[in-house]
Amino acid sequence: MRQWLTIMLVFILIQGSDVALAEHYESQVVSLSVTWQSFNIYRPWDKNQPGHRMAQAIVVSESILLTTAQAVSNATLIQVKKHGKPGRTEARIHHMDREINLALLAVPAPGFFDDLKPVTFSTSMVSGGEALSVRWKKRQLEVAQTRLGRVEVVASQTGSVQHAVLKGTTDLSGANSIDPVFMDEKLIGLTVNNAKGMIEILPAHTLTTYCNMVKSGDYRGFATLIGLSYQVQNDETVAKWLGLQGPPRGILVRNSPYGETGHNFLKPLDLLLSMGGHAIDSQGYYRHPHYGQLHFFNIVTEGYMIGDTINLSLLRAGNLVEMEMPLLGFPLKRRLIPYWRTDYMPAYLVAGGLVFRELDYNYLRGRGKSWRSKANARLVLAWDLERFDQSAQRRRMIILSHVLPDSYNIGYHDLRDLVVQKVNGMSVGSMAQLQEAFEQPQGGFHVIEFQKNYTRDKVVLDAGVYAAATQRILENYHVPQAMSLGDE
Amino acid sequence: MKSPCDFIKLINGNKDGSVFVSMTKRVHIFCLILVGLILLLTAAEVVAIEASVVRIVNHYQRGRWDAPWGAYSVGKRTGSGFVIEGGLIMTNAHVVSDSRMLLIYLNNDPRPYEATVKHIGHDCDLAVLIPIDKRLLSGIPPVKFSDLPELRSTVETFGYPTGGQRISSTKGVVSRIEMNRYMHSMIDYHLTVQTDAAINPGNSGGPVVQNNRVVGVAFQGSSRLENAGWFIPVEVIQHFLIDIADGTYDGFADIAVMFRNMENQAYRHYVDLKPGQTGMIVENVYPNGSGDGYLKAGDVILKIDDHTVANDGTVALQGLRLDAAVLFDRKQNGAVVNLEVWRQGESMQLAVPMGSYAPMIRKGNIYDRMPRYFIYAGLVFVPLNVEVLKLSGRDWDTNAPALLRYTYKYKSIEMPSQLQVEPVVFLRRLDHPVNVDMPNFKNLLLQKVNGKTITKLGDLVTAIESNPGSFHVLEFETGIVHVLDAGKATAANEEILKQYGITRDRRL
Repeated sequence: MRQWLTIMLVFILIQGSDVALAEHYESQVVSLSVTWQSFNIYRPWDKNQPGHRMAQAIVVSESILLTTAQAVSNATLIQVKKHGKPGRTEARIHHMDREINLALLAVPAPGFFDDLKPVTFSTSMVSGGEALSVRWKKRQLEVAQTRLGRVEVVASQTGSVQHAVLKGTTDLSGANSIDPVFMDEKLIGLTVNNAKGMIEILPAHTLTTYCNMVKSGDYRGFATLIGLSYQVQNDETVAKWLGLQGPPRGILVRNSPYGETGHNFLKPLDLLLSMGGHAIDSQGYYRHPHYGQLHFFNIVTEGYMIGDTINLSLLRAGNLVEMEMPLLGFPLKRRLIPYWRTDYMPAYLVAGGLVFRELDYNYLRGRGKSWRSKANARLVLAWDLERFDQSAQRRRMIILSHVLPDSYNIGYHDLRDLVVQKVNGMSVGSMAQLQEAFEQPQGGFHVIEFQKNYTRDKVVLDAGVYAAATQRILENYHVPQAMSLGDE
Repeated sequence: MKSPCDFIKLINGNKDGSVFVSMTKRVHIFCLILVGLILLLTAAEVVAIEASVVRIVNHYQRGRWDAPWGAYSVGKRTGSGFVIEGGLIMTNAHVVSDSRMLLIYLNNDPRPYEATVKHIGHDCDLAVLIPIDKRLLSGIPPVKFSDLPELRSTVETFGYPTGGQRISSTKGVVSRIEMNRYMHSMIDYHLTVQTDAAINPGNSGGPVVQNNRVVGVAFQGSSRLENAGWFIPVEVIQHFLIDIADGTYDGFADIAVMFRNMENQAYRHYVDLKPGQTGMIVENVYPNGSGDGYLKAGDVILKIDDHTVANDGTVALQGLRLDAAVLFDRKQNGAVVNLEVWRQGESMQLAVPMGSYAPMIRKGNIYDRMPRYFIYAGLVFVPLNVEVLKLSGRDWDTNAPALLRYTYKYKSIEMPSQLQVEPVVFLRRLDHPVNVDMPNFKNLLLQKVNGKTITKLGDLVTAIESNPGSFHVLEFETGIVHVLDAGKATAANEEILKQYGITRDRRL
């Protein structure tokens, strides 16, 4: 009998503890209901059907919520629900950085935060152990076990910053759900990727760095080395050939593209030995004081901001060189072919029925999961091989997407996915240049030259009736305006 | 209208038993005999066609492109063929390619007879075989060839498709005649005839017959279309037979020029064409091809051998509208094609000698040749070709390494000077202490070795073997660098070959 009483007592205590825990998180975690709408990749003047997604946000101050940029991308309306109650309150984006994939939301409604409490960020850099993932679902707060395994450096889900993530498993199912993770009632991070229970958590120190940077009013963003290509080298012969004393160490620089941090500092065949005082080994790893061996790209993300300088030590042509290198970001827009672009109206031009646009990942990925086999093969190769190849003269790869058929453009109706090189003799490396080139016909013609291909290299249009034909085509195909330079 | 029985009655019909035949009856009897003779002759000719159709069994073996010093297991492929003049058998190249042993089976004869390939044209998917026993076909009448069949006329295919051992024939109509891709080489386009007569595996190489004359050779089908098969028309067959008449096969000529249509009126005005003039525009002239030195980008081809070229790039031929390229295709190597060209507002006549274009041929599937390679210090190098790309599987066009795909498929189109270059690929590493510490990158395009630019496999061999330095420095297109200790590498070479069971370090 006494034994049963003991068991009952323990059960009641555990239940009471869980309830208390749930109440604790209920005041720190809110759910987001986001209506979103993206642009149509083939008719860039049109928007697609609106969609709807749910996400989580955490209270980080008396008036601000933190979530991922991914959660609120392309949002047309953001609404917040708290304490599992049915009422919704509108929220607005206070700050967003797609490069690190974080966003702060403000809720203008007075008194909204009265029954909420800011989370406490964990200050210890944990890399293992048991934690709790928390999520609102169907008006109830789910609290589930999460196990942390190791730390890795990965690229942000939406941008170009490479940062450390805690990798582990969770009992909370759901692809790409954004769930806060707590240990000892303190926030240790935000889940940014969940693939069948295998999760990646953006750690608390990155979240606090972001929040503090925004709060300071001097937001510069996270530095990154993405784009730098290098070769790991564990070969004593190579070390000897390079003139390195001792065993192989450091990484061999292959290329640092235009616009990237190292572009004006690093050269091919430089052996990069250390960065910010951290020795880099022959596989490109350094010793992190808390996480152990980590990829060296994390050095610049953690503890440095865009505009800071970092000390480098490298071997160049057999000589040891020390230098201070200013750190840059490498935003998606700095690429010849940008990665996922959200909250962005695509730049396009309809000229005589020829639809031109910037090539970006959205356009290729618009073919669906099998985009690699379904999208134009040459454009997929451009993504694979040329996406970082922006230059001062060529900011974007401009393509002829397709043709809106009309008597004016007979002979060209089947042209699609061709890379534009010149229009009316002018090189085209941006939509603005394209627009400018169409204002300067040659001898009564518009002459469009494409990168050599299997279909057609040159198109000629009658400049005399160009404006009238374009107007007729715009009306016929319900295109509201001939051009957009986008939002960039 | 009298029935055949009535005629018989007429012949035997007088009551007195005498035979009396009126003029009308004589005509009827003559017609009857004629019809009978035609039927007999037709039947005899069908029997003759059937007698000339043979079953071919090819025991083939292909080289391994992933381990280029070796070969795959022996495979077996069956197809059809037919007897032509000269004691030869005509069939498809794809039936007899990579052959190690060829057997032929005559109609209604269970015995196998050995044969060898006398000539093979991978570009037109045709081959002729010769039996080891030269007298074997002496009793079999060779087929007679006809011409291009009419659209919607009926044709009959003969052959030995899978599903049985006996000869089979199927009928269908000619549904389309046009230039099309020949899948055997993957890169060649010639005239084809599409029919709905069933052309199944095993039919390949069999004759397609109309009025007891061969009008083509069955050669490819489509898994995407129902009841669609293609045969090689006599025009292409004759081109092949004329080519081999001198004892060697030179292949089809190629103008090596990229033409585009001129359907847009503004384009025609842009090149100053006069009203009523039509043609196709020259966009690219490939270096060292037939057109190089004669044609220029921006020229308009108005006529080819006196055939007017329409704005859509077609010509009227034999009641059909065909791609103008068919006129270039008719030329043998060394023959001249006469062009009327519009250049900068003036008409001019050009006589262009035609020849084959090796850089384009190198892009096709490879048969009857073992892979070329060079192995040094356990690093395996091969020339880039489609067989190397196909190592990435059926969907190599998507899955093969991006830079290799780009270089093979697009680089030479975008930069025609690259057509003369044979890119060399570092295919794989055979692990050994001398090389195992280098990063195991593979499928890399070689750019320089010991400072020398590599434009063909032989350049690599020279750059390695003529290097007096202590290091071999290999630079790849992506900026990757491999460095070998020259002394240790050379010393390890033989041991590596022995360890991996390789008898020769090269096949150049």
